[in-house]
Parts: sequence; structure tokens; C-alpha cells
Amino acid sequence: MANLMAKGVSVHFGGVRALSDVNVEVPEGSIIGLIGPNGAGKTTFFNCLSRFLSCDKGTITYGDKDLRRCSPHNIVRLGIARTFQNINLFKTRTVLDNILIGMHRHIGNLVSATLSLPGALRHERSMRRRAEEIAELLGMKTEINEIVRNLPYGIQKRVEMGRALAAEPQLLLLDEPVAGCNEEETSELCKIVYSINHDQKITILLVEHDMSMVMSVCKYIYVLDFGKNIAEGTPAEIQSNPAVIEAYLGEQNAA
Amino acid sequence: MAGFFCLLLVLPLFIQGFYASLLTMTFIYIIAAIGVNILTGFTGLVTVGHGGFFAIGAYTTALMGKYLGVSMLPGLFAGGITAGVVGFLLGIIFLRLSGAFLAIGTLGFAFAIGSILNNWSIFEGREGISLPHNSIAGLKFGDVGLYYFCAITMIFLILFANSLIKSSVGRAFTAVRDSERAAESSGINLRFYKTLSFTISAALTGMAGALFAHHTNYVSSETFGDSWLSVDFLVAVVVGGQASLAGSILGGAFVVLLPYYLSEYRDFAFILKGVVLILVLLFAPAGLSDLLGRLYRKILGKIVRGQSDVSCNLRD
Repeated sequence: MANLMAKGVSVHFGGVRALSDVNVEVPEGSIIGLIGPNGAGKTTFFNCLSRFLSCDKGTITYGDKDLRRCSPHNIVRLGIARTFQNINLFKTRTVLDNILIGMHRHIGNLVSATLSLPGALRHERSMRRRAEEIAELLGMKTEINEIVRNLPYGIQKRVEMGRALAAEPQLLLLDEPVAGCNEEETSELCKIVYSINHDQKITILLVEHDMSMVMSVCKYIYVLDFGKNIAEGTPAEIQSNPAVIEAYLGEQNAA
Repeated sequence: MAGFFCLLLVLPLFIQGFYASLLTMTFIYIIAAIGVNILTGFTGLVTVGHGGFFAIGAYTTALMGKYLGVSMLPGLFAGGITAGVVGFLLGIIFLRLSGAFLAIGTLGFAFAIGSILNNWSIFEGREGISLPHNSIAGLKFGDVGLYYFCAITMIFLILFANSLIKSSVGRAFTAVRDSERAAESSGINLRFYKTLSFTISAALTGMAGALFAHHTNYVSSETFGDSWLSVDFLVAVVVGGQASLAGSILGGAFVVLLPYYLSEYRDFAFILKGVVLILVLLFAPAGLSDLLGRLYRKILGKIVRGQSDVSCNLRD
């Protein structure tokens, strides 16, 4: 069983404590939500998981592997892929190229690829077929040869997801997949996220501000505020948890 | 593209020795520009120091020719390999630099090479080293022979570069250029691919340098210690078009042929090069290849539309 376990994770930037003693567990096969008001440390936590940041204290393990010993480009080899909140794509390239770059994990023999030997060309064709399947799954088959920069925001969000899926991960970390999307796009992405988990058996950790999405998709939710765990439970438990209501409404009162 | 290669191979039948020699020089610059383009255009690491690798390639074949009597072909490979090894080491040293800092670092490398050429006695400074007569397996090469040798080498290297940039390795290079974060999270090892790009880029430019040495049959620190060489390569890439092989061909031709046709007005060629560079940066930042490509599509579009008008008329 490859479960993701984060225990007592702490990070500080100078005097600011971004995360203190955060615990999150993601069992294989589940969809777990991670929510919290702005600045709660959700993205910081994601960056720790994908090794763009090192945590000062605590342990992060995936199965029997210690993630703190991995470099960022090795994370994906363990079967963990992520998306970025503020889209981080290869904007001057096509959707197809973006998905193909996501498949880098399956690059095969470097020399053979460089010299376009027959084996590499066959491998390239099979990668392209797989990329087309991913584009179809995400409902962007007609856009596959478009330059990413020219596509609407909602589609770019899907390309981001496509790039992550291309690595064929067992665990997918989604950082606000529907932020900035309209209602229609959101409900479509909800279905996609559900089908990725249900049909492809990919475990998902979802950071999201859109409560309707989190409540409908996730089975279990962790809530962060000011870099600390303040609650965890099923969607129903979270909705009635006084600490959560205070964190969110308190923020509203202050505004 | 195939037509272009065939044209190059029959061209010597129609042109005089001098023009063959001028075109040979163009091919050499095109190879060097492709080398720079792999690093600067495709991987996004700006270099102003590739004159250094050009010199390493040239001196490798010159010294091997002088002391070991090695001929052109092994000299070409040795030049490429030596430059590639130095490129690999330099790539590791410069891993943490990017943008203007990397440009300054590489410029420093070119100065260092120039200084070494001037001061280490084996390189014979401004006196220079004369190469033995160009030959392969005892067969002597004249201007036209060298033209073919350089043309075929260039064609092979263009095909290699084309295959490289279309492969997953080329995609990894552009991924590193466009977003380091996204590249890393897709499993691309930044250090490995930056160093690889440096190595391949240096090896190509080194091979160009080796060809140059055979072309002039003489190397000295006056030519190879000059940092303008590095600037010329970068200008070729920027004017021709970054991340475009056709761009490197245009750019290489630009930096060789422009000064030649304006050789009566020496300084004017120099000024014009700068003016063209500024104009390209302002009005066609993707370079001449992109500009010509758009123009071509526009004209093609007009012709196609014209034809469809005709066919409509016919149907009426």
C-alpha cells in the first residue's frame, strides 16, 4: 500500500512560520481535500511534497520512501505528479507537446531518441497515441495542436492536468484545479477529477477554494489555517465544525 | 530541405573557386550558429563565449596536424570531442548561472581562451600555427574539395540537430527554457539537461572551428582570441531566429556574406550589422526565419485563395 503520510511538517521563511506541525494522511485510492483560507499554507505544503521546498521538521513518506531524500525531478518517478495553481505550462508549445513533456518519465534510451532510431520513433508514436487519449479524456481533443498561449484559461487548466496525468502517476496533487473557472467549467472538471480517481484508480490530494467541488468530490478533508491543522473529517463534519466556520467567517468579518 | 541540400552539392559546378571558398566559410558559420542555437535558442541559456569552443576545435586539429600529422577527418572529430569535453565541464561550473550572469560568465570564458592562446607557448600566440595541406587518406583537397567536405559535414550536422530537437531530448531542452518548475515536476533533471545542452552545443561549435582551421590552413590568436567571434555567432542566432534551424542557416549566411559584400566600406558593414540586429529585435523578435515564414504563408494564402476563386468561377 502506497500511502502518503506527512507528519509534523514545519516550514518557516525567516521569522514567518508558514507551516507548523502539519499532519496529513492520504490513503491509496482516496480523494482527500485540503482547504483553508488564503495564506493558510496549502501551496507551501504542496511545495514540500514536490520538494521545491525543504521542510525544517517532520517526515513525509510515500509507501516506504522518504520524500525528503528525493530531488524534485525524482518525485515523479515515485509516481507522484502535481499541477500548479498559477498555471505553469510550456506556453509557446502545443497542447500535444505539453502532454509529451509530461511523459518524460518514460523517455527510454536517450541516444536512440536523439538519433531518431526506429525503436525511438515507434516509442514516440505510442507516446503520441497515449497523449491523444489523455487529451480526449480531458475533453480537449480538438485543441491538441493549438499553442497553449492562445487557449482560454479553462482549457489551460486542463492542459496542466493533462501534463501531470501523462506521467502516469499513482498519486496526483491538484493545486486549485478550478480556480478562476466559471461554473460550467467547474462542474466539468469535477466530473473529470472524479473519473480520474474512480476509473483510473489514481489517488488524489486536492487543494481547492471552491467548496462545492471539495464537498462533492472529497471523501475526507483536512483544514489548515495559519499553517496549522485546525480540523479534519468527512465533508458533513467539516461543514458543521465550529473552528472551520470561525476560520472562514472570521476572515469575512475582518474584511 | 532535400532540394536545398542537392543545390549545395551541384553548386561548385557553376561557381568559381573564390565563391566556393566564401560559401565554405558560410557553412562553417552555420554549423557554429546551430551549436549556439541549441544552447541559447532551444535551452534558453544565453552564451557570448562560443568563440572559445570554436578556438578549441581549431587548435585541436591544428596541433594534431602539426605534431601528429593527423588529417582532416580525425581532426574534425577530435576538435568536436575536445570542445565537447570542455563544454561539459563549463556546463557544470555554470549550472547555477542564468540570463545576463551566464552571458558574462561565458564571455569571461572566451577572454580566458584568448589569453591562453596568447601566452602559452605551445599555441604560438600571434605567430600562429600553419596546418599541413588538407588531405584525407593521402588525397589532397583543394577549394572545391573542402567545399564538399564542409557541405557534407554541415548537412549531417543539420540532420542530427533536426533529429535532436524533434526528439524527447529536444522537448526536454525547450521545457527547461520555458518553465524550470514545470520541467522538474515532469521529471526532467535540470542539471543533466543543461549540461547535455552545453556539451552538444560546444561540440558542434568546436567542429565548426576545426573546419575553419582547415579552411584558412592557419590559426593564430589574432583570429581566435577575438571576442567578436562569439558575438557574431550570437548575432547569427538572434537575427536568423532563435530555436529555429532555418534561422541558424539564414543567420550564419548573414554574418558571413554581409561583411563580404560591404567589404569596401569596412566600418559600414560593422554598423549595418548592429542596425539590422536592433531592427530585428524591435520588429521581428522571432528572427528572419519567422518573418520569411509568415511572408511565405501570406503569399501562399493569396495564391490558394486566387485559385479557389478561379475554381468557383469555373463552377459558375
